[in-house]
Amino acid sequence: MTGTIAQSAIRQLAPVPLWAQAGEIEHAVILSTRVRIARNLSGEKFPAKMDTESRVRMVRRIADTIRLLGIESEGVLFSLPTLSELEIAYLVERRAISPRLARMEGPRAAFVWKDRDRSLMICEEDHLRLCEILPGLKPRQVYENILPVMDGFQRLLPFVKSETLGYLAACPANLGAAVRTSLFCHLPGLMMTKGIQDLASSAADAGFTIRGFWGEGSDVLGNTFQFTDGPGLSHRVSEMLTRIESIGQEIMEREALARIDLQTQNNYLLKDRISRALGILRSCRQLQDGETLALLSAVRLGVDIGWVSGIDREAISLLTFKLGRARLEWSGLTDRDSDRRNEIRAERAREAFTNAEFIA
Amino acid sequence: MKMCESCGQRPAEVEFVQIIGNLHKRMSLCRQCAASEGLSQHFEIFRRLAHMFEQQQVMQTEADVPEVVCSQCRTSFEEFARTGLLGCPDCYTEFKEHLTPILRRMHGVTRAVVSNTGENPEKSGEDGVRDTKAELKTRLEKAVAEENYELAAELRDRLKSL
Repeated sequence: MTGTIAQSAIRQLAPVPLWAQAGEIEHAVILSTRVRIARNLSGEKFPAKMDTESRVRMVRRIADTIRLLGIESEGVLFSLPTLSELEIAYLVERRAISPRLARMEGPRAAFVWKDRDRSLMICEEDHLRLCEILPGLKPRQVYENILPVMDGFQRLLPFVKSETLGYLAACPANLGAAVRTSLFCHLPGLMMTKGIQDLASSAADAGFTIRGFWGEGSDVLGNTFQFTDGPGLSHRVSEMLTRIESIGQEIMEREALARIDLQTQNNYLLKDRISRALGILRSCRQLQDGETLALLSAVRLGVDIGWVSGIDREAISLLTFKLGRARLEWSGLTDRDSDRRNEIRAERAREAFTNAEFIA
Repeated sequence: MKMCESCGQRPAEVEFVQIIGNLHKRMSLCRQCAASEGLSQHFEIFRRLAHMFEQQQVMQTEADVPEVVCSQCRTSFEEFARTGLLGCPDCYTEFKEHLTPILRRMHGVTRAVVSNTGENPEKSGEDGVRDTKAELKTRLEKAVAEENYELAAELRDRLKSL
């Protein structure tokens, strides 16, 4: 354990990740884009099969490489076994590490950049997984941001690659360029009109993986979906980026049409949903984690279509992050009792929505 | 989101393929209905295998997992089928015979058209993506007419990947 939260190395990271500050109109539906590049080193088993010693060696080797590349001052290297549960939960909520890396056991680490939403996970499913998130629909830009970083590592480390299968990864789905791109989309309109089923099945036919972003398994909290695609063996990265850009455009169009339908036909249902959510956020005394995402989603939709004033999209994005469980405990809250946490969450929501009004 | 074809209540999580002779019966089920169909036994194995396919969860009634073990890292093919993860880079050569059909289903091809950062020249050969849509369509129609559903599924996947 690293002692108190005040001394935690996490304090060196920017207090709010960029994705939680996104409030422009182009971030209304496609909240963010994440690209991930995976690599493995030759002469080593994949992480799931590595023993403790070789994992320790791997983490040390990557840490040395980070120093050799001269980028160590750009971020913080977290060795997960030395972090508290709360610190790990916070890094997950911040989207700096994957829930999988958090759940795993044994030596593993993450180098997290301080001023951008970029991180390098060490000994997750593959030896190295570099990813970055940018607000909005930006697959090409994110890819171009991180590719040179991975190229830097490639100059110093022997990545395992096959002539016929490309970069070898622990999971065969990641063969080829070992790149995956995800779009995080806020789709309350398509959820309410049930258009999501149609979109999901056509996206699945086109090879995309779709799942709810928040929540476990098939639960969809906060109407937020994750669409993922990789080039696999049969496509070039550039083709994948084009595909993801076009599905992004299609998602935006379909969501826009669904919102128009909702506003024009039987709109009393939509009015009820948004004003009710706003009412709860303005007056509640207890607010639960999952419930918060649903309410924020409804009010966010209200802001997008001009039915709610006195609060903007950026403030709502920020709340999605700030009302997170670990984040609440993190900011000085030592009481882990859930009633107390729900009370504080409610207090913060009331504060944020004081001036918000339903104006439709 | 696709709903369970049995109860219509919950989202479908499992693609259930029943193979009787050369007849394929395909259904999308939720976890509960899959279990009540008596399919829970092999569920875990294919749940993870499904994770590997990521897009469509796949489950089969007959678990026909070859008994092979990687000589380098001692990972068994059964373990791979359960976890979706290989143990080391050598598993790709050690399990080549059994992995090839999986790669074909997963990627539509068994060789990378790109092997680097995306800018390498395309590889040709019988498994490359040189087939034209029209050719594949003709072969697909023929396969369906001949009730060769294995081949049809493969051709359909290759068509999709174009």
